[in-house]
Amino acid sequence: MRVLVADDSRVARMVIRGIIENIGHEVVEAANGREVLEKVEELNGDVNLVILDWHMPELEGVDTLKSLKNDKRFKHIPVMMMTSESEQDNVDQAMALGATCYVSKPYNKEDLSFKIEECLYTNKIDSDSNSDNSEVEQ
Amino acid sequence: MVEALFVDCDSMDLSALSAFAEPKHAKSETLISIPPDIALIIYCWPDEEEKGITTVKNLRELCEFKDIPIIIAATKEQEEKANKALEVGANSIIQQPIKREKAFQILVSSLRPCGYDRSAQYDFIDPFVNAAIDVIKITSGTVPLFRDMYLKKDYKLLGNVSGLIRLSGEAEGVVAVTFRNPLAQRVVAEIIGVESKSLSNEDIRDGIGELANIITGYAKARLARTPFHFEISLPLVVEGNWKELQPEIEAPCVTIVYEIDGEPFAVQVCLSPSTIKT
Repeated sequence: MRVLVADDSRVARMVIRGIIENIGHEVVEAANGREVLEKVEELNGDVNLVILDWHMPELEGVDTLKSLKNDKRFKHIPVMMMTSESEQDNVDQAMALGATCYVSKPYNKEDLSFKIEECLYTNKIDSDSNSDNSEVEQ
Repeated sequence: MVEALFVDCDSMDLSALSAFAEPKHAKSETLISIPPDIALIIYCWPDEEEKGITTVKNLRELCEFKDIPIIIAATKEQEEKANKALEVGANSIIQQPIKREKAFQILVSSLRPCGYDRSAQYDFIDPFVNAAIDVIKITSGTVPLFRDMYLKKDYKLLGNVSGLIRLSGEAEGVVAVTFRNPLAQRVVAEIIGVESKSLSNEDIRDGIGELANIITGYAKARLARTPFHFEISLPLVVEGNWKELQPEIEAPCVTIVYEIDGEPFAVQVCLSPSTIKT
């Protein structure tokens, strides 16, 4: 599956890339929110998970999340928000805006790996189930 | 009376200083460590500028993240060249021959913590002390040890690669996570999970910036709903020796020194609440 990782820190992207490739998935990187929207557009929404850092230059993570969820073409893509500021207000805001899940930095690599798999496979089950239902309706 | 180390000062008249400072003498060529309990270093500027610059750099390196002011004693003719040493590790210059009143003034201002305010509160310290240890342990697997903590006497960064985070909102200030380079490279390599040698300078800078971001965010979460709640900026990385922290307000600067396998690094926190709720 394909995961889009967005963080202004190249080192942060390298760490997450290592985790995702280790569990056998493809990684696309973006350094800010604007690049996320460009890449999702280029890939025609063919992304199984977007991981967004909260604070990024040019377009913040929260605003990127809003843009994705307000676009009919891409609102189905699950989004994992990631931040160094693990305050409840931030968590509530992210989930209210449609984030699928939330991870605080610093994260344990094994825990993050598990959480990514959980997001990917929960979304796969949901989208498989939706396509089964639409076949039955036909 | 403070304990002061006088370096290369054999021929200088130190009587004005001896009333305030208990002197120990040393030669720059043979000095390999700063004796314990030294609160101040007085370095008598040589005729050769290059020797002076090199010695000041070495003295600052030997201070090993301790907050020891280095004061240069120079003649009027030497002062212009001695000024360059302020960029590489010296704190101030005192003109020879030293007068007692000037000596006292310099000593007091050198030994006073910067931004010191009797009414200041330091309830923000614990979250920062724990933040560096927890964050580095979780991200790299290495456990730093706490070494020392003090109120810094100047706004200089202790390491040569530092991640700075500006703080704003209910509390204002700046946080720096500052390393000397070999340790910076090692820590970033451990975080990524690669060999140190494979890292570029850009990776090291980026990694230290990200580390500063995570450490500050970790402390921030634990200071929510206190007078020390703040918003954080994107990280800025500063490279080079003896650079300025440049806080936007004159806040006291708490410095927390840690070590990994004997190598020091520090978190420098200059923070003051905009309003204190009682």
